[in-house]
Amino acid sequence: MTILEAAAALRAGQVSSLELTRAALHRIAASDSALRSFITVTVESALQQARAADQELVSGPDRGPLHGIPVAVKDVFCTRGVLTTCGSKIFADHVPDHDAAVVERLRAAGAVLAGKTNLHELAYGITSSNPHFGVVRNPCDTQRIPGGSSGGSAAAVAAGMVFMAMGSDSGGSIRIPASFCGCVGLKPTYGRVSRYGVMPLDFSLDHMGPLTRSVRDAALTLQALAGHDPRDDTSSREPVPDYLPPEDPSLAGLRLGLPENFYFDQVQEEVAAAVRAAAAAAQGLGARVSSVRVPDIAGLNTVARIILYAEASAGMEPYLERREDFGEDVRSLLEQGRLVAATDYVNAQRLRRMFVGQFRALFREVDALLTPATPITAPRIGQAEVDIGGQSEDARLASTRLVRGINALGLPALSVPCGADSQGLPIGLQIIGRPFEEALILRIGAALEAAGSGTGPGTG
Amino acid sequence: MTQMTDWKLLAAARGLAVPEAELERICAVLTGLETAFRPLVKTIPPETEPAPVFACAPEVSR
Repeated sequence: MTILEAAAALRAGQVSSLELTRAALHRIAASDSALRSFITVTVESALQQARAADQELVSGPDRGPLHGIPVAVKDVFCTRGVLTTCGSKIFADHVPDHDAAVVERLRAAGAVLAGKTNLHELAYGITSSNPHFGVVRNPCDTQRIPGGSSGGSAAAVAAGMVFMAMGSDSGGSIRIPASFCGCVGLKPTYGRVSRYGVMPLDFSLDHMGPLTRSVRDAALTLQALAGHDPRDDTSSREPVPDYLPPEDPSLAGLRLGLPENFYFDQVQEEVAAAVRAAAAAAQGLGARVSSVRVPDIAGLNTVARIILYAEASAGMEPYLERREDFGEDVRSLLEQGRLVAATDYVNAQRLRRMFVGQFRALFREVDALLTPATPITAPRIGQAEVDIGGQSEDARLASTRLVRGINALGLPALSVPCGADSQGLPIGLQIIGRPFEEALILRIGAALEAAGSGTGPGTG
Repeated sequence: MTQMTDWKLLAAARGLAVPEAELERICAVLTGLETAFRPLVKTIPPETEPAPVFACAPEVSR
C-alpha cells in the first residue's frame, strides 16, 4: 500500500491511523530483530500521535496526504526528547531539545513518527553495517547490505514497516539504498529542504530527502518538506511548485539524455540492460531520448571526495581523539580527511564551480539524464570487492561511482526501481535534473513507474 | 612532473597516532586521490573563485 492509497482509505473510513500505526509497530516488532533497521522505536508517542490524527480527521483540520501516516526518520534528524545517535557511539546518549526542520514539517503535515532508523555510522559509508547499533540487512536478501548510509530507512520502507522514511545524502546515501532495496529515493536540489537540526556530515554536500514505495509518495513528501527556512543559511527562497506528477504518463516533448561516456563504462550487464530498457520505455511514452556526452564524472567524483573528506573531518575534529569509539572504516576516512591540504580543498571548490558550468551547458541540450543509480546490485554483507565484467573494484567506490558527483553539483536526482537481476535483486534507474526541477524528474519517474518499468519494493 | 605528497611524513607532522597498517591503507587512498586530482587543478583558470558557501542557483535561461 502506498501513502496515497492509505490516505484515501483513511478518508473513506476503511482504516484508521491507529490501525495503520499499530500494523507498522507490529511489523517492526516482528521483523526488525532480523533487519535491524531501527535504532529507536517510539511506540507510545506514535500511538498517541495516531489517536490525535484520527480525531483531527473527524473534526479537522485535514493536514493532507501524510496525515495519520506512520513514517520514520534516519537517526541524524534531531527529535526533541528522543535519542538521536547519528549511528555513532560518540552520540549514543544524545537527546536533542529541538526537532529538525524536517521533523517539524512532518509533524505539521500530520505524519506519525514511528521511530528513528539505523544507518552507516555517522552517515559516512554505504554498507549500514553499524558496529554500534547492528548490521542492517536488505529485505530482498538478508545476506546482502541494504546500501547506505540511509540503509535502515530503505530497509524499513522495502519491508513495509513504514510508508516513508527520511534519509540524508552526501554522496549517494539516499539513492544507493533505494537502488539496492528497490525503493524510490529522492535527493532534492541543495537548499530545497532545510538542513536545520540535521547532524551534519558535510556542510556543502548534505541533502535531505524521502525513501518511499512509489514516486508519487516521494512527490507528496517533498511537497510537505520543501520551502525556505531562515535557520539554514543555505536554504533556498525558490518558490515551491506542485510536485505531484499528473496522472497522464505522457513524456511527450521531453528531451532525455542517455550518457555515452562514463555511466555505462563499467556496469553489470543486467543493470545496463534494465536502464536502457527504461530509456526505451521513456521513448515509448513520447520522450526524445538521445545519446549525450557528459563532463568528466571521474574528475567530478575526485573533487567531491576531497570536499567530503575535508568537511567531514573538520566537523568531527573535536571527537577524533576518541579513536576507539569509531568503527574502523569511518575512523580511516576521518583520518584521511585530516591530511587533505587546505589548498586542495579550496581548489576542489573552484573545480566544483567549473563543473557546475559544464553541467549547465549540458542541460541546455537535454531536460534530464537517465543513468544507472548503481553499477551493481546489492553486494553481500562483508563483501569488500565486487566483480564487474571480470574486473574487481572496491565495493564502496563502485556503489558511489554514479551518484557521488551529483552531490557536488547540488542537482536533484531520483532513484527509481527499473527491474531486477537474475537473482531477483532490484536495479535502480537514476534520473538527474536541473536545479529545482524536482517536479520534472518526479514526472519522468512516475511515468516509468506507471508503465511498469520497475518491480517495486523488495518484499512488499 | 608534480611532486607527490609524502603522506606518512605528513601524518607524523600532523600528529596522527595511527597504527602502521591503517596508515598504509590511508596513504594508498590519498595517493590515488592525489594522482587524479593534480591534473584537474592544472585546468583551473586563475580567475575561478571557489564556492565555499555553496548556493545552487536555478536555471535562468532555458
